[in-house]
Amino acid sequence: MSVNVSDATRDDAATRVVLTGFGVFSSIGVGADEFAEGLRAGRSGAKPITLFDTEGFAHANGCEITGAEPERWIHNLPTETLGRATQFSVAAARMAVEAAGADLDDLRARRGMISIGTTDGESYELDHLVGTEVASGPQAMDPTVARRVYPNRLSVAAAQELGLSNVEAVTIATACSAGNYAIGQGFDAIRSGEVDYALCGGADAMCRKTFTGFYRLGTIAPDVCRPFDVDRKGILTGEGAGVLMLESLASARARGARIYAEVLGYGMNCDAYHQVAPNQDSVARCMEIALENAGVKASEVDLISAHGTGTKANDVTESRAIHDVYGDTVPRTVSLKSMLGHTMGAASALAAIACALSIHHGFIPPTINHRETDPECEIDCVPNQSVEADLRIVQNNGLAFGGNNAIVILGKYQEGVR
Amino acid sequence: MMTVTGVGVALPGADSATALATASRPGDSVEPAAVLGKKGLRYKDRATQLGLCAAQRVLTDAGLLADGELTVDGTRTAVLVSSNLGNVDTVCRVVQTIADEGTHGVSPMDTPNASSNIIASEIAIRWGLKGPNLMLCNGPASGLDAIRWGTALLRSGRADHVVVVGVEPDNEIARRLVGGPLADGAAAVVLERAEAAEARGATVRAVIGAHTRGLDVAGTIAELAEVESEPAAWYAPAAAAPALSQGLPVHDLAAVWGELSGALGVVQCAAAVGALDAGADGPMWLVAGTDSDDGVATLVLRPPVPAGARPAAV
Repeated sequence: MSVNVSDATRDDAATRVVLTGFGVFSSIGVGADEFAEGLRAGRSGAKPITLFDTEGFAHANGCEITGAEPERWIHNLPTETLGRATQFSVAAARMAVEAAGADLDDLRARRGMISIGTTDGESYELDHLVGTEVASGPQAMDPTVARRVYPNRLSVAAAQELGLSNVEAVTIATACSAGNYAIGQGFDAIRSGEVDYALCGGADAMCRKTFTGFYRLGTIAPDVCRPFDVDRKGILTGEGAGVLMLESLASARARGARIYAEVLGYGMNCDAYHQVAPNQDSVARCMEIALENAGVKASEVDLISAHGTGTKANDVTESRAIHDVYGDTVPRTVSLKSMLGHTMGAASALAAIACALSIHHGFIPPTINHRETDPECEIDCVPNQSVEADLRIVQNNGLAFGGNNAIVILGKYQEGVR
Repeated sequence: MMTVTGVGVALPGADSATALATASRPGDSVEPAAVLGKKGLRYKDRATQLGLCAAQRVLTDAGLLADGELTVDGTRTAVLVSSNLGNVDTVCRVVQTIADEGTHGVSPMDTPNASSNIIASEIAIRWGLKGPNLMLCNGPASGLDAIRWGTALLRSGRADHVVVVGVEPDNEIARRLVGGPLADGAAAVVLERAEAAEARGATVRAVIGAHTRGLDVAGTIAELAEVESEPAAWYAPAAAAPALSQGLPVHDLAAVWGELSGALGVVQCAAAVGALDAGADGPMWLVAGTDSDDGVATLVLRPPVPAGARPAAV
């Protein structure tokens, strides 16, 4: 159990970690294939919010998921016991297992991990619960709804649904970078031999509380999210779930699994600076930690999937930090939030899946809604149209309130080569 | 070898490992302003304030903080917080404000405060702890999960010092969710590799032994028994007692402090170190979670090994 990961032999099949299947709920597509199509087409998830009453807001667009039917992937748990975010996470977990072609009986016999990141947990359910309380008093609060709100349901319910009892089920609450934290946790757990496989990702449902919070901060865009654009006005809140099947290369090989990409390493740090303002030096340092952990030189990176929220503060700070690390040879840097909105705890998980799909299918998803790049950002954000590209190494940035940064490095899987 | 090199306690009437180990009932509630000073506390929720109190005490106790300055590299210091209820009061209050007054009633200050990682990030900000920073809300086993994850960060070389804090606030909203009062306190430990502790002349207070996680108490402690020598004492919930070896002391900390929820595992560690400090026999076997919960975590704490008598690396 007490293996020092940093001492692990790099090309050992037991300590290389690969991605073999994805579960996706997003406003631009359900499932990896539809998601990949949406990314390539530059589809937009933005539309007027219908999930909650938006009366009183001057503008209220969001990237809501409509018609996704997560219950199609939930066979064993009564769906009324699951909050909206948990339904996404549970369904995405089953979808990831199925997409990976993994046999559940086989997984049950092995030691695993389910790690799901989140920003809001089940705040969508809390919205309703508190609404009931205010309108009709606490006695009117529905106990079934109250039982849905525990954030650890996001991971535990997935374990229950899949009948995976020999797993550590963890919910990570590091807000908007939580998906990358979860992937990192699974990566370390597989590399150390603690587990054989890990279902990692993130999930969040749109809620009025978070929409309102960002609205009051003046960071909700009036129409669409335009990352790195000189006229960007902020984020659109979104929702969804992304779950990745991580396993050792040895495990993937043994069952002849399709390998989408390899997790080369990750880095995490904390700005310890400000609750909401990102810190350039610290974000740059996190990239260096990730590259170092992955054993990758900056010059080898072909694409950065930016945190790219589309706020004034994030995009300038993040692109400057990228320049600090990459100097004058900055790889193309895209923001998926232009299409997906800010899916909070799901954001970096969905982005990691997008990176892996980009590597696998050989394209770079665009930054949509783009008109004119902010001269202060100085990056090629691949405006509006996806491009074909042979990607070897991709960096996926996740930054969060509280200065919680986590960055994952993915690589094209090549037999015997890293 | 992973070790505990500091303990911080901010529970009602207990401000140290020793006080925690000997307490039989809660005393006066924790006054964060008295511990931290009033400055900067105004917009922080109770869980964050309690977490900051325990963090300040553990940093000081471990010698990582002296005269208000860090004595080690902040970029190599991680913060892990375990709390199941955390800032739920802020989240619910914001929702209620929107329902009562509309969106104009919401203070912009509440947006970060309604973020779930607020406790861990506030601790990082206050002392410049720039290493990995995580918040776990993992049910009854969460506190021991945080300790175990702390050791994983040390093993993988992602940090040299890990501050683990377990905290649960007591407020009306939290009570309603758990069905009763909570401990309204926090405990914290500092974890380091033995080499790192030795290099900076820190005192090792306990050695972290095996840890397991599984479905039930009997199964998880059976796994421990395969690799660890017999316990001298248990720290476990009352509901786990039937599965434990009989005739040994069982410290059910929730019976003393009330519902500890996500703080439990860390409070157990702090209390066990307090007992070891006072010369109690080890090892201590810690159990968080019961058969009726989502999962059970265990951890063994051994007494510090006297210099010159260390076994080969574990």
